[in-house]
Amino acid sequence: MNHGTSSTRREFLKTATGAAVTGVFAAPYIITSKALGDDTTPPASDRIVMGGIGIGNQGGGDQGAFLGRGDVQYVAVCDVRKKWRDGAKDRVNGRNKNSDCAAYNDFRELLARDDIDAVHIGTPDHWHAIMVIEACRAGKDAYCQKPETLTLREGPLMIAAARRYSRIVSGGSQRVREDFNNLVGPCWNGELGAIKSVNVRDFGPLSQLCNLPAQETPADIDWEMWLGPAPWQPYNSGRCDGNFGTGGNSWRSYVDYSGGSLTDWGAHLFGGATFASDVCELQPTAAVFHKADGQLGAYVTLTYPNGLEIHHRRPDQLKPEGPQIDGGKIQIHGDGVKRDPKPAPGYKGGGGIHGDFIHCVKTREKPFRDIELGVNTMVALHLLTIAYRLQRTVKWDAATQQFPGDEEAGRMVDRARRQPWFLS
Amino acid sequence: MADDAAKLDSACEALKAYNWGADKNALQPIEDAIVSTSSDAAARAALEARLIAVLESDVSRDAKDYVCRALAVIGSTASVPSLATLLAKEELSHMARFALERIPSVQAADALRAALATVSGDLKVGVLSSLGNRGDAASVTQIAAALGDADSKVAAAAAAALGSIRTPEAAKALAAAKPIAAAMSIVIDSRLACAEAFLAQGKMEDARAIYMLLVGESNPKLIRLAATRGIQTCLEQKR
Amino acid sequence: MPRTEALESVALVTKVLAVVKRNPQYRLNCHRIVIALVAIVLAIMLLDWRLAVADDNQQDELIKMVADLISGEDKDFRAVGFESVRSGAKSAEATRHFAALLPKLSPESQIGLLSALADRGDREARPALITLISMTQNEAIREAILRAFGTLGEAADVPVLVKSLSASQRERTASHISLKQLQGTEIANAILAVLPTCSAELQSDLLEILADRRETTTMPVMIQAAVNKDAIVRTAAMRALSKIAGPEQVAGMVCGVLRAETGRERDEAERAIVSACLRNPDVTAQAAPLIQAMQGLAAADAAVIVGTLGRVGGPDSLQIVETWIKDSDAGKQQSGLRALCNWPNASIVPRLLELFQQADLPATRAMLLAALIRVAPLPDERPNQERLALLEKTLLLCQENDDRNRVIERARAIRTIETLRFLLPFVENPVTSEKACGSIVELAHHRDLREPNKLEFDKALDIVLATSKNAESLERAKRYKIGQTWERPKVTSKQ
Repeated sequence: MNHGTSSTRREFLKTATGAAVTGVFAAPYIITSKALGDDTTPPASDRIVMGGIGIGNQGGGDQGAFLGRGDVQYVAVCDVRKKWRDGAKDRVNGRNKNSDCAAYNDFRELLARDDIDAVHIGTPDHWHAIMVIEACRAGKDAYCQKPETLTLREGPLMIAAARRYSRIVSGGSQRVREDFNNLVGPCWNGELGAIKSVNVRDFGPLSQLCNLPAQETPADIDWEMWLGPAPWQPYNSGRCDGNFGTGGNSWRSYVDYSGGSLTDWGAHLFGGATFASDVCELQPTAAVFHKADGQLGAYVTLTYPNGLEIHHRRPDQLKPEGPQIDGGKIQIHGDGVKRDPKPAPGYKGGGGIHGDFIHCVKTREKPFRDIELGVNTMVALHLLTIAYRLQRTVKWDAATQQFPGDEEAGRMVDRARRQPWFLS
Repeated sequence: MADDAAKLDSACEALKAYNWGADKNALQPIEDAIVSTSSDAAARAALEARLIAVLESDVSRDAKDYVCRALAVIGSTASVPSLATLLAKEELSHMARFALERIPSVQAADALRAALATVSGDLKVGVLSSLGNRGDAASVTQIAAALGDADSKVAAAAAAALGSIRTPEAAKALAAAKPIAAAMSIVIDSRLACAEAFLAQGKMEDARAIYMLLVGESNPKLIRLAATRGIQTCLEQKR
Repeated sequence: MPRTEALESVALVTKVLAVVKRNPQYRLNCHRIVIALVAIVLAIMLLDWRLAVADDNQQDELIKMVADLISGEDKDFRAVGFESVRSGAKSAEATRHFAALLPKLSPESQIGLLSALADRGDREARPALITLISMTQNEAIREAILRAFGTLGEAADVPVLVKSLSASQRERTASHISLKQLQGTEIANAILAVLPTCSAELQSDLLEILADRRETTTMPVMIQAAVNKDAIVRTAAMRALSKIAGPEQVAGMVCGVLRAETGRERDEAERAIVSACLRNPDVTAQAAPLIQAMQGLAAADAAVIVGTLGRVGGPDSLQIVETWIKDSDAGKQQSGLRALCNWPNASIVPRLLELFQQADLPATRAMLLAALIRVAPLPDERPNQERLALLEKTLLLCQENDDRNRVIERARAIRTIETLRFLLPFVENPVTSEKACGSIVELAHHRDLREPNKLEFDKALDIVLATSKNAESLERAKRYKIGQTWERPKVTSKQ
């Protein structure tokens, strides 16, 4: 079966290299020593060509991780803010010792490049779904920072795009695998028996409505593009820069762009909790709202199809019969009935979560934080959010991705995107 | 109760003067009322009526923005006429859809569908996407009519909407589509989405028929890859 | 339609005929009814047979398609084929077909198929692995085969995996993972069978693997290994026991502590015993097996184990430790004091303070002071203010700058705004400045503390930026001030 007729950059390099050796190739393409590789750098034909979209705080960190790899050829950056775009471009050129890195304001121009194999996305959350889906449609693999989604409807569409085009799409929480080894070990090796309940103690507020006053839009930001599918609001530096925390001084605090700390740190902590308790392939069946009771504040419990309960900030500590392990931010208890150990999945390749992604781009295996797992964590966090917002229990049907018989909660599955942006 | 009513009155007054930079905490009683009227239909209808009144009055864009957000949560058929009038307004069309898209009544869909005839360009893109997001099978004919739009963004949005609706009729419309070149990739993407819906419903022959048309050598590699994977999935399904 | 439904139809016909037999009014038309029913059953069976043939054809088509895809040159299309190997065509026959492709593929495709077969988890593929590993010296392919043994192998594959623990790094890593992953009740015995023939390094690996597999029946072997002549084996054995041993193994593990060389090996062995003691869910009885084990020991050995007892803590241990402290023998006194200084919580702080005031020897005072600095900020049920107040009190006891710096460093464990205020004056003193800056940025690392106190932290971080010469502190202060995160460098160690 002949599957490939179109010539790619990689095929061209292979052909060109081979032909140059035999003296047949006569086109004016200069094969540099860099392109051929050396002891530490694979030849260009074996390197993954990458670009980055959204190169601010976390995106800059991701850029550094990919840029530092010998098996990555970093060629393009995209940001709607000139100072970050230029800074990121300079970093790439400095590293590559040339001036070849392209810089874009519009991510679609970067995705339209045939030579790019993969992108990393570090924009605010309201852009994640559109960019991941567009990357897949453009044939790119994608590493997307957490929180992967802003609404419940986005997740299945991102997964569908990844599967439809056989793309590698990794979520971006490194803490899921790296921060909770003290919990993962005893859970996966059977020491705790079947996991019965988990209490995730930390992380804070929901995102809120933003009503900051209008400020003059600086020349170095494309504000319309920064807002993209989010409702139009006037420029204010407090919406988009400054502190990246959740205390009301950045996009992370506001509902149009983020789920707040609940989905930001929640992606790490619930990602870790669901991984440790081995339900990361499942979605909850309900988010049970517990009203405040005397001194004890309100909290929400997620129930899973296998009977596991994950509490969020349960104020009265778990005092179970069986064994438990207290990891500070996460407390887990099991039934103590001995269970065969099961090897916990880990990163493939070397270099943490970024290395795992690059390895999978090469081998086409599923990455550790495959988008489906990231989405499952996000579903848990969106259900928590909706239960807190409605101050009542909500039930969830993972098969239909709906709140059965619950019209009020059903309205919170998604929100309309500002034209001309849409999601499908 | 009287205290709550007074606070709500005060919040509704504050809403009339609301604008960017104003204290949003002044509107908290409205937020509280949205939650507390969850199981009180009469109280919720009264709240909705007050919000509609604000929407129809001469208030700032930010105040209307706020009302549309609230109506997305509590709006009913009663809100539809006021929201529908905003669909053709450049600055307010999105927030009108923000509410209409989430209101489950048939009238909300009718309003969006009717707007297709009156809007163009980006506003039409928005309305098409909202009908798609609602999965509004009754709109397939009207959406399909936009597939041939000369504006590639409109044609693409129509294709995407049909790809979200994913009924056999939507699939047929996509198969017959002859959009301008710039919208072709999204038409194919939507056809693949329809095939996935058929697969999920166990209609393997229908799914396979779409994949077989897209697996040929004349198609781009990415489409052939998707079609190959689709055919393979069809073969994996037990009869 | 499933075949079972056809069989159910036959049963239904039998029942109908029985009804006909019992009712005379139907007997006249009995033969017609029988013919009709038989015809229906035959039609159903024919349909069922045709569907079964169609299913078989469908599977044949899928297998052929997958074979075609994974034999191709395009990596993306191969990946689509591997997806089906992972989860499609669920039959042993299909597995055999896929596995049979292995020798015919390019090395890259072989590796992909091995990974897919491993994920498929059907042991029908195992013979193909055994054949392939005997044929290839390609390191990447061998690595993939060894990795696939993890899900496809059995006890008989343990020797080849153990042998590969001495091969290249890649093969070693793959074998290590697979030995942990192999399923079956015979795996532990298979590992124990090869253990005596292995080098110390290999034994160390295997002991770790047994512990990670939670093979509790092998603990007697681990206890034996804890007194091995080779320190590598002893350390691995105690480390393994620390993962799975409970109170019942404490007595045996005491020998491991006594056999350990003083220093790092002894320290790790003691920690292993503490882990075993703490696995007793009855908190009041956690020290009991160690106290019991001490009773039969010679004085010199008991002096070692009393230090371990201090690490376990608890009222029963305290009683014994106090007896040692009050003993007239100076050596026993010192052992008792050392045990108290090992205490796992702050409950003994008043006693430490009292002993500190009474102590004459500088070395004893230094030991007690170090213990106070260690336990004062330990996280427990005490309010943060109390922990900080105790640390401040401890600071007043310090005579040396090194001790003061230790206090300043430990303060970072108390995450309150008051700790920040406590630390700031020390930035001005050149002797304590860098430690104070280090603790300030560590406090600032915690966003839930930093954000609600942003103004104070911003000022403190400005001071760090103006004062510190440490590159890491400066980088962290810079990032936290603009709300950015800082990735803590990963500490990689075997344990």
